[in-house]
Amino acid sequence: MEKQEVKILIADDDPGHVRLVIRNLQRGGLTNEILTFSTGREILDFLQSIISPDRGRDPKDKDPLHGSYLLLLDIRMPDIDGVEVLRRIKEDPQLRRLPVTMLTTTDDPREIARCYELGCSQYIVKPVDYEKFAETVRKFGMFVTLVRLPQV
Amino acid sequence: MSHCENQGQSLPGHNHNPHHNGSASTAPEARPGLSTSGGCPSPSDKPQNPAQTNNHYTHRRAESSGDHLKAIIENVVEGIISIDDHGIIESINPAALRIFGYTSEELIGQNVKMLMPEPYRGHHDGYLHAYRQTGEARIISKGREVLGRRKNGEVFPMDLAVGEVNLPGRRLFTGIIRDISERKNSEIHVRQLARSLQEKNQELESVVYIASHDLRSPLVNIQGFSIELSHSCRRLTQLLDSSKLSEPALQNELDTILKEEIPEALEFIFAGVNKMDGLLSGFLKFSRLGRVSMDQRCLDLNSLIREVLSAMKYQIQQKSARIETGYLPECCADHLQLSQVFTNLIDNALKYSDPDRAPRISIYSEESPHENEIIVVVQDNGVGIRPEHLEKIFDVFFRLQPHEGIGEGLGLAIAKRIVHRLGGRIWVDSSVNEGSRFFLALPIQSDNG
Repeated sequence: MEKQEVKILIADDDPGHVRLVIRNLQRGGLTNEILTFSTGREILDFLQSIISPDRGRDPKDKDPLHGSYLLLLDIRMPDIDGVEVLRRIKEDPQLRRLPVTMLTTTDDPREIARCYELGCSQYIVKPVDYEKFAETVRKFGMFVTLVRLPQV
Repeated sequence: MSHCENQGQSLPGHNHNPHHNGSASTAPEARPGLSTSGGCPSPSDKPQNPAQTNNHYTHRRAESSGDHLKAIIENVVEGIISIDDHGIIESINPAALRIFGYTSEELIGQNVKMLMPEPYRGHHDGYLHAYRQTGEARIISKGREVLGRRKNGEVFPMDLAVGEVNLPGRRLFTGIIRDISERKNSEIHVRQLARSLQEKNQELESVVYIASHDLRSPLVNIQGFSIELSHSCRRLTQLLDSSKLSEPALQNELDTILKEEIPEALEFIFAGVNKMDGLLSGFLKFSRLGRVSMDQRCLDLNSLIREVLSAMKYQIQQKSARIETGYLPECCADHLQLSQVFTNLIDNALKYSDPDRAPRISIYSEESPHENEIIVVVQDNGVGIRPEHLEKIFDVFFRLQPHEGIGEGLGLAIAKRIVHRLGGRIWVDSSVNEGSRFFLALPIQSDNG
């Protein structure tokens, strides 16, 4: 089977947060391609573009996104916020299986519960304790590696 | 019924006879006023054994109980009015006279509908007629809240309980009335307080939510990049300590650390500190608004708008914006604070103008469905607001174009806060790519008047 490289998608409107995540993913040994988006609309448009009708029609490609993308999603973004992006992803039969990790500064339990209800895979509160944050991001890096390995 | 009425012709006098009261009490199934035939008092209902002493005793007791009842009726707080089945007032107690502001001479013999405001006044005879025909009661033997009308024309809320008294040959309706206008007013006041408390609570919650997001956001960067800096320092030290690297390779590494990594980290740290500073001063500005005392008085809005526009002349010219103003009625507000509201609205209209067309801003008034307020509209032909943002735009720190580097996300939050403190309302209506209309409802009279 062809080796599938997982691409990491980061949707966050704060360029500093994006840089920190990237630096830490790379320090954690990740060499995966990383694509960044700064608004909810941008990431939704991108996801729509990768489930173009052509892909959907290919009979061998029943689940075009499975295993090939992972999304790190911030909640508070201008235009469409992260919770709404998550809702739309989980409502779309072709996008539903995309693993989504919420990566945000809120630790509001109601919001966390809501995201899990909607079907996010993981919820990371961007902590001011940076060591912990780096650790979480590195673990996420490991998670990506594990997801990739069985497909080789 | 007809049986009773026929026999009842001779009874009115009888009815006031204490002997009769005493006799009725000896026949439990024949209570006076019960409209079954068995309940009609007849001559045969006379006491079987009219012992003189017993009769005398009953008479005295009845008389004293009559005085007693009269005293109660004269002195209760509730108004008591009795009418016949055509609505004619037969008796009325002092409390009811006080409530309605009439003398008993003015009321006895009059139709009770004169104590009701329209439209009830016009309907009352019809209700009585319907009850006489069908026996279908609307209010009888139930209590409810209705409106009364005092002699001076004032309409007031009252609790009314109506009971039916069937006397031989005729019937009375007795209304017991309690003036509840004071209670009603306090209820309204309490509801207003509860509503404003709820609004304050929501505002507080949204501010706390924002604080948990927006204030932590720069901290994540400040702390994160500080740690990045310490990583860089550690690597620098390691590089300088090691002699393994060749000169060009060392130079390369040093270049990356000193010219890319460290400046990037510092840049994010400074930006984070500045952002934090801006957010905190914004918060202070917003919270100070709650303490500013409002000097609310009648204002000429036309001259207020002229002043605002002349202060913003430079911005308006820069954008080559055209401003149209219609005639605006007077309102009651704080001059300085209301100027701030219009400044923020016009500033937004200029800021979110459509780059493809010259900004056009119209300020005019519209008729309000409510009394005691005017509506001022600030309309623009800018980029408009998406429906999902319509509620958020009045939130603290919400910005539609956060990366444009304009504004601190407070303009509309401040406008809303001021307008609420002035006792008004603000809302918006918008179509994307066409423009927005901001509506301001402002009181004509001061609240504390």
